[in-house]
Amino acid sequence: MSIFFDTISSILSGSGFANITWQQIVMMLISFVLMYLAIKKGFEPLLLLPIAFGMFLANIPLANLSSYNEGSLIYYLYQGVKMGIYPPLIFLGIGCMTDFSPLIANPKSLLLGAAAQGGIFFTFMGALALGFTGPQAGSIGIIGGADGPTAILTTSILAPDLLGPIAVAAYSYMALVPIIQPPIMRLLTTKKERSIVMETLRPVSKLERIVFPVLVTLVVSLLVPDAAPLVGMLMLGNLMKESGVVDRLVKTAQNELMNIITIFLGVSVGATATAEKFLDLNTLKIIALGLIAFCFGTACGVLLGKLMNVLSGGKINPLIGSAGVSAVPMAARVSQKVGQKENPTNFLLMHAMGPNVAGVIGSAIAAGVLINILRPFVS
Amino acid sequence: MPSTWVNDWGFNVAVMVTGIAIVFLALVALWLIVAIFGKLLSSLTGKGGKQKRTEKAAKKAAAATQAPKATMAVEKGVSDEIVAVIAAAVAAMGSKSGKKFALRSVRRAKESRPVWGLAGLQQNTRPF
Repeated sequence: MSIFFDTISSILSGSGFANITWQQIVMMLISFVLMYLAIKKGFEPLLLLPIAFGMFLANIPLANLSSYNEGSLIYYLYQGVKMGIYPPLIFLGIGCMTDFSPLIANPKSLLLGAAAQGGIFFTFMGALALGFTGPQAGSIGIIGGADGPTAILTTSILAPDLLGPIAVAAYSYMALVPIIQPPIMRLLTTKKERSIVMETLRPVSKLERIVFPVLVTLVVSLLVPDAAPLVGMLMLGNLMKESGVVDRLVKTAQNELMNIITIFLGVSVGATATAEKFLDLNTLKIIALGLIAFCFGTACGVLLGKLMNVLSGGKINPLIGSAGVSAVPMAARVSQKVGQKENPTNFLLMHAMGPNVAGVIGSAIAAGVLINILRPFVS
Repeated sequence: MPSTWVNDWGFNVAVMVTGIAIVFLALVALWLIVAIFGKLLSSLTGKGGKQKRTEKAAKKAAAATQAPKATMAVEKGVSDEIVAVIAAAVAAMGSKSGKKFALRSVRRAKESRPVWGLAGLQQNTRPF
């Protein structure tokens, strides 16, 4: 009989039940909340669900499933994040799905895409004031770019220890764009400005759409070489789509390839959020700074929109400026929704898509600049 | 060998200013290049005049819709994506015809017969 009890006792003491810590229980509860938000509330489920489950797996005691456990499945998947492979491949798929016509028809939108990156650099200063190092502050600031792959690439280079909290903050706030942006947009604009109806965009020829990705890659890569992996793959995807000669590749890049990478990226990034790395005062600071980054980015875009409206003699609705924070196409939809609330004859969607896709290019450039300046300080 | 990070506020401000400046510089350069290329192409293909006429018509339509109207009513359960798609389709229709359209409400069409039933009926009653 004693053999029976000894065996049971030995199994129990060697099981996860006996070895689980309260920190791991808290992390599991956090992962359940994220799963709830993804499944029930539809918050960026494509990435938040694998991230949440990766977080759950990484905190199961003795399972050794975190991204740092050498030899485990997730460890090998994580190498794609560590080596900066996944984010550019996601950008390839995004490029295949993006229509740059609104931006080509109204290239002034590029300025709005630049202004909305202000949130990145203001938050960089805020993070430094809260005691983060330069590379960590750069990674936190990039949350304001509202672009998940860019945030993950930057953080994997500058501050890999913060990858979990930064990815969770970036994707959570991107899902909350329809809640975060409208109050700021209304606060900074008058009813008259919100009601401005913009002129219809000109049609864009196929030649322009084909030349655009080549031009953007050339200009951006020559100016900021560190942005080339993201911008280059984004524009390769777009060229494949616009050329119309590689339909099979386009379908693979925007469906199968992107879905596979999304699963690998989500699970392995989630599995970096182990209790010892995530349950930290710094995580709370990152979540607060991420919100500030989004708010500042939105405000900067709207304020430049207001300035451009004045300079253009009342032809630009400042609401489209908020779409410059990326978060494609949700931020553009928010501009459309807020504008149409004031005036049902107002259709801002296509106008807002210009700054929206410009924001993707802008945040990739901002990431390239931060990587270039701060990489020498990575310890 | 990595350099050690020292929190020097002069350097931090320089990073912020440089970052913002480079992002603007790159995107302004792109703006100019894309704008010049667009103009060059329209002058080469001779579409400049036609485009100007379209722009004029669009301006007229935009001016006619300046006055704000009552807000739009969206039926509960209709997602923002659906509203955005409908809005984009209406905008495209308006820009092509030069007419003014307003999206005042979005609600589900009440079907007296289920869609599958309707499809079956059409199939069975369609003349050979």
